[in-house]
Amino acid sequence: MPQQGQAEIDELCRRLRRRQVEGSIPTAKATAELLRTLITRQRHPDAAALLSDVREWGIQLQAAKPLELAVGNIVRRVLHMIREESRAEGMEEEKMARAISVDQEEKQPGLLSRAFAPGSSFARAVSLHNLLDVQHLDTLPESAPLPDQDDALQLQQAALRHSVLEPSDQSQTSVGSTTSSKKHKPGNWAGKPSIVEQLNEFIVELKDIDTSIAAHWPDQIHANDSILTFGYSETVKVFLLEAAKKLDFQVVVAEGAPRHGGQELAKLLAKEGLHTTLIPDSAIFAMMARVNKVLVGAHALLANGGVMAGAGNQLTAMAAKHHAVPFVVLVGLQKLSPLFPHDPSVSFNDYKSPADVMEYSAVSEVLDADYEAAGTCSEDLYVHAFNPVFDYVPPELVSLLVTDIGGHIPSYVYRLLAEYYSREDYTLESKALTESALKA
Amino acid sequence: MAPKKVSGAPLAAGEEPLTAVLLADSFTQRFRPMSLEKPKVLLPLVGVPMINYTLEWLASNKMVKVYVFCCAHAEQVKQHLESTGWTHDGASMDVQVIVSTACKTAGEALREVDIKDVIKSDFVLVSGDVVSNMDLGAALEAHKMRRDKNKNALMTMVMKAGITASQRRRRGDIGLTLAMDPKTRRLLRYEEVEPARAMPKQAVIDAHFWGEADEVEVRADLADTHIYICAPEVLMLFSDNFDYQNVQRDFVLGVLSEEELGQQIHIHELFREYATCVQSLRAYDAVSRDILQRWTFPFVPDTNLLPLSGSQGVSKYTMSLSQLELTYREDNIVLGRTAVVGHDTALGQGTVIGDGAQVEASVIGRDCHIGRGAHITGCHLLDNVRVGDQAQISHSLLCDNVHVGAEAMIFPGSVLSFRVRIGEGHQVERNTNISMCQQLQQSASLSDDELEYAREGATSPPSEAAAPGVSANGTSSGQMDAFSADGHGFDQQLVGPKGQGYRWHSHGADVDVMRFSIAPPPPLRPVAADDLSDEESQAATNDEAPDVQPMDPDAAFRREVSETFLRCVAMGYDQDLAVIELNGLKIAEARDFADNASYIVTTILSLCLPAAPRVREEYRKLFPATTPDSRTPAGRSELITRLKAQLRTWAPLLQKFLRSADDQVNMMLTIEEFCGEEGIFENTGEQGRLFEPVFAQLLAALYEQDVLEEDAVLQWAQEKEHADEEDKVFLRKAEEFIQWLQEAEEESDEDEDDE
Repeated sequence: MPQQGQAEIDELCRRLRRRQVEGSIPTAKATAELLRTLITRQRHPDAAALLSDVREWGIQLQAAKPLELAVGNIVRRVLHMIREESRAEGMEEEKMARAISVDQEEKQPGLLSRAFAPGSSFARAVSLHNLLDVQHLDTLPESAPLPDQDDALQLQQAALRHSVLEPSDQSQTSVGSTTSSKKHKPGNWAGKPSIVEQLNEFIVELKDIDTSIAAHWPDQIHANDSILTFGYSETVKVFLLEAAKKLDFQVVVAEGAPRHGGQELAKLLAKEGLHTTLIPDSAIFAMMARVNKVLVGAHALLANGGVMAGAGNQLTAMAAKHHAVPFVVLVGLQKLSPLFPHDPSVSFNDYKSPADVMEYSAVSEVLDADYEAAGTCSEDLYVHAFNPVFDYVPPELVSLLVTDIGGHIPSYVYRLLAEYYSREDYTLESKALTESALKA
Repeated sequence: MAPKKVSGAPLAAGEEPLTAVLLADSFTQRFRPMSLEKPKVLLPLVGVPMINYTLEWLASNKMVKVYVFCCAHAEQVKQHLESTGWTHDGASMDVQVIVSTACKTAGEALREVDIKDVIKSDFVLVSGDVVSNMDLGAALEAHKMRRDKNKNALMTMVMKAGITASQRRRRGDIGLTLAMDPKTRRLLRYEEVEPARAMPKQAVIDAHFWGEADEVEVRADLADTHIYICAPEVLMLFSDNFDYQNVQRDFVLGVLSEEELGQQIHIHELFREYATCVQSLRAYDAVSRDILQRWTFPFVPDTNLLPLSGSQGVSKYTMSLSQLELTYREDNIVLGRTAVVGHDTALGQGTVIGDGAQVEASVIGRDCHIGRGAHITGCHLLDNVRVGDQAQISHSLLCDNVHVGAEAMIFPGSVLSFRVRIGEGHQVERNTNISMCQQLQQSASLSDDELEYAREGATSPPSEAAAPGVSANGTSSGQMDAFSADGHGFDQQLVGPKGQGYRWHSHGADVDVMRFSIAPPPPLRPVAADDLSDEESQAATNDEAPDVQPMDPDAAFRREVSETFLRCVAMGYDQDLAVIELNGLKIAEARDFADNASYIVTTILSLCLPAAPRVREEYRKLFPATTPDSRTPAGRSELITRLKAQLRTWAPLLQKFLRSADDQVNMMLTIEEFCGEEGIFENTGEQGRLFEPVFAQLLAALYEQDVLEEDAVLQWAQEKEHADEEDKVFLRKAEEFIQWLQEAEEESDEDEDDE
């Protein structure tokens, strides 16, 4: 466990626990910035050490607020970056090695057939984005084993190439080690600057993520549309305001009790000159028949295409389904989580103080009233008021997800996942780490 | 001390660092006997020591520096702060400990802080038992703005609004009547209302308040949170007025009464946010429940925000909401297959619950073992408690390492302090406090400040001078008495076979015992007097907050008088003392002599009969055990004999209160009500009707003792002449006596004529 930097981790954990960092963008940003600092500051001899450290930090941070999936998402993304980087490095080396010892194979199958050949597993999962990445595919071993074995194989090759293996102090966690980089000075892994560079880019991206999502408005909003939204979402606000620059349309805002974020949103939109109508949540169903589209924000996007969104969104989605109105969720990719809603580590809901729902004095008022009515013991008489924050909207109710890279249907989410995360990192917990270590 | 690196939010230029003074001592004895062994602020509320709630709340409000003022058990508090990391470098705020073991009141503590000269700017004064999730920002800003305008705006008191009388009852709080200027939120008048005492008839608001403000708001729904934002001058005022003991009663009232000095106190009201302090066991229970019900969000178990005691780190609670029942569990819990965990329950790590056991509305600490078939309702079990099979416990507090034998029963309101053992099959009565510390001084001292626990070998009544260095909240561990070897010298009646522990008497009126008990407050109106035990019904009447259910002021006054009188009888006061006591009551309640006399007489009458259910335990022995049957001549004469015996003692007292014939008539009317069980005597269970057949003899007895004069009797008879037929029942009964009187009068008239 790195002792250095522990203070910073604790500090962020504390802020997460105290709910001083709220919302996925600030959380993602704080996490990414912390990781950047730690990666830059600390020395790691190779990618494996870095991977295990980042994972270790990630576990701590996620444990501080299991509810905020963005923490884990960012950590996974960084892990993925490191893996990619080290893999690329390994391939570079291998290519060189192969150029010397092994002849190029004469006959190569077509790209696509290789890509989808049974048993093939690419270092980076195949997607439309990298399908034509010829160089990338070329460097793959012909009969590609499973990813973990792939790593082990590379390790062996590395060992062969360098007759003497440095006694590794990371022996427990050396699985992820693709190339123990003896070429570079033993202090720091050479891939690091690239990781930090990518992180910088990512942080900049995060800052403008709402604007990037808003850029897709022309596909969603048309002139004289009438759009319904629920509660307050910064993403939705930016999106609507962006569209309003060019188009004339109507917005119906459901207030989103008990936090009444919708009231705030309605005020802001009206101030910007949008044609805004505020309705109570109870009128959503009645209003649904008159709108063309529902646009809402979300807290997290889950692996099955379902979303976690503010409490009340599910009823909105169901009403939309009933009236066959498209239910569109605006979600930044920092909210994309590889976890499924049934995953035990996903704690779905946060129950806030019932003060929003009920007067504090009601607690004991009912206590007295029931005494007379029932004459029972007082411990049964406290009113139980719940104030959940989130709803789970299943994928079948979601018509479209609009992310910063464009619109996708919920069934496409698994592709997005493959794009941004490595399968090994889906579960952050140390269990996975030790298991793969054993396999090696 | 060198300033530590503070990793909290950097301060904006020109902004003063936020400082807080935390009093880690409540300066009361309400948490006895636990507070003898462990300071109150370290008692866990849902697993987490109280002080951690306060500190964490201060930290999340971006406090930069906190001075923790420790008196009792200073070492323990210090150690706690160290082990939980509050005093470490790099903690989010700088926590400094000030130790002064000689302080007995908050006032002394603040004077001590003033002497240290560490507070330079405005600060937040809180006690170590505050649980809150409020955002101090708004209050601080308002305070600052007022201070900028007027240097004399000394203090902002944070008050939770919307607290009803039943809410106060639930938390054992006092009532507050405040007057303030609704625009500036300036406090104009502050008055505490003890809930058990009768509501004062009037509150005086100076008319000149309207000279300064157009409106004056009078509020009774505010509860003090013990969060005060103070100017540094507050400390100076405490130093200047060395008799200030208490922030509210002395400082606030002092400032308000010296209005000409221009100093002002303001109120900040909380609506949705939560803030309260744990001032008694009743509040301990209520606040625990509020935490379980998430009113204190984010300070709820499953955010695992707060460090546990010692170096255990943060908790690992997860919440579950199956069948809409909130439960919180840590890991490594073993639940029997048929064990039932009900609503509002928190289970700590390593707890084992046996088959068929039921736990609900309870907080179970770490490593507790609950036997098979045990029932636990509304309890607070701290760590490592063992509960035997089939034991039943309700609404009690069981501290660390308590053992409860199999099939034992513990009734509501009991407090078992550290390491107490209850034998198998034993029953612990309601509101019993048991501790391993022996209480030597048994005298019923009503003073909160007096110390009456055992000090090493000290058997003489400890005086204040005899106990220097010991604060009112407890004693250092060295002073804990040496309890005798296991199993010896313990009262088997109290703790059962093989049990261990001594009874701890809590002082103060029974009313307070009920009010501060960990058991939930009894219903306002007894459901049926017979069903309830004496204490319950008695407390029910005493706890009645006048503004919830306006109680008949006569009935209230009558009870006051009769209790005072019974106390005089029980203590064997002589008549002069009794007169002073009763007179005091009369003046306090703005009553007249006749009222006093009437209720004394009825109390005397009831003393001739077996005790009514409402009578307190301690006075019961004053009442005869048997009920004379007044339908038989023997019973009648028995009754009259008893009455005469009483009157022989108390007639002079009555005479003192009967100043005129009118007073006597009033008294007779009351007696009439008593015998008819009408008005306030209805359904009191006093069996006044037994006197009905002997009404004439009753009057005669009073006459004989010169309590009644014939003029008064005749006046009464005259008044009654014009009454309705049904009201004349007693007149008829007394006819004989009146006739005899009239004759006697004529005779005496003649006598007088002779003179």
